[in-house]
Amino acid sequence: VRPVTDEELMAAVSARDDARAFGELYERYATLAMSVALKVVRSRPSAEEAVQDAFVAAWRHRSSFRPEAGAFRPWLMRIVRNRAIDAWRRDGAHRRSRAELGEHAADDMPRNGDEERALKGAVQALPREQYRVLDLAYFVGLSHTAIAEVLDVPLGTVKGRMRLGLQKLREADDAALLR
Amino acid sequence: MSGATIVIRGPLDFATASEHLDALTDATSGAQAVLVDLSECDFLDSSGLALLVRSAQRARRNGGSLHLRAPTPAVRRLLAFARLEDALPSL
Repeated sequence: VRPVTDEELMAAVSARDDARAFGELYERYATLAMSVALKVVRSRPSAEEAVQDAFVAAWRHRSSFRPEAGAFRPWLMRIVRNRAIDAWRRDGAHRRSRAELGEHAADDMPRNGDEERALKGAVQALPREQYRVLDLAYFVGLSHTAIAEVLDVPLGTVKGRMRLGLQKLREADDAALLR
Repeated sequence: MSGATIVIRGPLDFATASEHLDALTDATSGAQAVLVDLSECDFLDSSGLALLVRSAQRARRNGGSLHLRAPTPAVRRLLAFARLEDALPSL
């Protein structure tokens, strides 16, 4: 018997609010979603919360899923990534230890996860000033105050660039979801 | 121990890191003292930091060393906040 595809399950979810089909999708992707969220927030409780939020959002927006626009898995993982970014913002400036940065730096980039590369690529596509603030905050782990000192700009400017950059990341992902 | 100096001009970031990858890889592949001149480098991002940390680790593995020369105040502050002053010592 041919296994039911993700897209067929999601079609049942969209058309009939099929909770059992959605449960099957959760079984298939909860572990991967956790892995993606952990790459963003690096904190298990925050990642668990992000994954939970993501599946709730996927259920709420089930009617917006268009199988002809793309597969279920990347659609879900974009939602997970967005919720993880939200969780990271709630957590405040995330500080990675020197050891973590060293470990990260020691890895060859191709060995990093697809999602992390995608996130980094999206951040790099931002205007330079917003990119620098988000890169220092997210990938280096500096606080807003530290970024202000490094870039020699007022704290309010850092916060403004951060807000604009994150807003653009969200808009880019929302646009991708609607395509 | 022999030595090599690599000069970085402008930002060392995701857009420029690859331009310096070969030179840093070559310089740190043997047991020599490598100096990275940052006197004209105005910004490092995570890609630039990662490249330098990776290069310093490779240098040490191969019995050599890597030191930064004359980092600008902004770069010095960044290294301090990122707690990378020990991993990337300055001369």
